[in-house]
Order: sequence, then structure tokens, then C-alpha cells
Amino acid sequence: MKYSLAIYGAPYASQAADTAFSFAEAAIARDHEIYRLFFYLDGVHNASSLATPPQDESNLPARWRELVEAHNIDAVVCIAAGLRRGVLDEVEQQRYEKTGSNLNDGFTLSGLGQLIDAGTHSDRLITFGA
Amino acid sequence: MSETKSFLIVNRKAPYASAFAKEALDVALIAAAFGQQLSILFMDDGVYQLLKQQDPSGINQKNSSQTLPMLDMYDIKDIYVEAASLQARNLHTEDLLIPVQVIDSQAAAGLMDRHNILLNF
Repeated sequence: MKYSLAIYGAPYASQAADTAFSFAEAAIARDHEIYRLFFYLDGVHNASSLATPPQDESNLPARWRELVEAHNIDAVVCIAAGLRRGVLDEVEQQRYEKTGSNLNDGFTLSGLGQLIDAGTHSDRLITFGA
Repeated sequence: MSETKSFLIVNRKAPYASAFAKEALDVALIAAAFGQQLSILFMDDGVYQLLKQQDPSGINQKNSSQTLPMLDMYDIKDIYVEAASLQARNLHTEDLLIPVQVIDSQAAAGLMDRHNILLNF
């Protein structure tokens, strides 16, 4: 089956993103396809390259990046939600003249249309963190 | 877009205390702009999103209920409210800013069953 996951919870602050990750891993292990990961609301923080948890704690943003790159998953961060919360790529950094950018490798900023598209093109769209 | 699938957006949270209310409405408007079949259900604390005369200026926020009349402009007509959620909060349809269809819990479950894609906020 084709799954898309909509993730609304931030790493560390909420269990949602962790559960979503476990789900994604399990789906892949069973040869399902992950059509898209869509990060919305506080979920955008899963795509930050700056998260620096202690060594003995899970580093969920790093784990997402590894998963996305290993399986070539379309990992989209809602641009409006990201901008509000301070998750920017280099293009937005330039546009808004910010001191840095933090969108991790493997992720792209895009619009809510990608969430709608994920819904219409997947067999299941599952939300995490609401 | 491919096949015709229907979306149901379920709003369960009060406005202003979190971003869910506002960002859920953004999804509704985008879904409608993309020509998708869409229903919206307000239940639990989500019914507070519909109250008339909201004024969050004192807490430095925009009045998100001002977006609600836009739903009709975007041709989103299927807006439901769960009766028990209103009753538990001592609210009535007269307190609500836009026209809605009040349904019981069983009908709300039926709504979730009938729509292909559930977005829960």
C-alpha cells in the first residue's frame, strides 16, 4: 500500500513524531511505499538541522534525515508553518535576510497542496500529533 | 489530482491556545481551492472555534473566526457540529458565527466512515 504520513508534533516535545517514525520504518520493512511525509504545525521542527539533543537521547531529526535519504522519501515541510516557527532553507534565508538556515538535507519546503496531493494519491493518509 | 476522494477535517481544539484551529482552516481552504470534496466537523473543544464575537486582540492574536465566512465563498457547505460537544459546553447554534448542521455522535462516526481521507486537528 501507499502510505502518506502527516506529522504535526515536534520532536522531543511530543510523542507524535516518534510514533510516526516507528510507523514509517515498519511500513518500509513490510515493503509498503511511503508516498510522502508532510510536516505541518510543530512537526516542521523534525526537519531542523540544528537540533542537538544529549548523546544518550534519541536524535529524531537526524533519524528522519537518515530514513528519508536511505529510502528516497519525499519529505515535505509546509513552508508557511516552517517560516512561522523558524525552519528555513537557504532560499528563504536570503529572501528574508536571516542570519541562517536550518532545513535539513533530504527535506524540501512546499505548500499545503502537497498535503492534499498526498491524500488523493495515497491509499492511506495517517496523521500523527493531533 | 487523480480519483475523486473526499476529505473530512475534524477540528477538536479550541482556538488561540494552539495553532491547530488556524492551520486546520488553512488546509480546508487549500483543499477547496484544489477542487476537493470536503466536509468539516467541529467537535469537543473545536466547537469554540465557531463562537461569535471573538476578540483575541488582548492576547496579540488575529481573530481566526474571520476566516469562517470564507468557507462558504469557497463552496464548502458541509459543515457539521457534534451535538454532545455543544451541550457539554452549554452552547447553542445561535452562539455560532456560521450556519452548521448539528449531528449526533453516531452521525459523526458515520461521517468519518464515509470520507476517504481524515485530517484530524
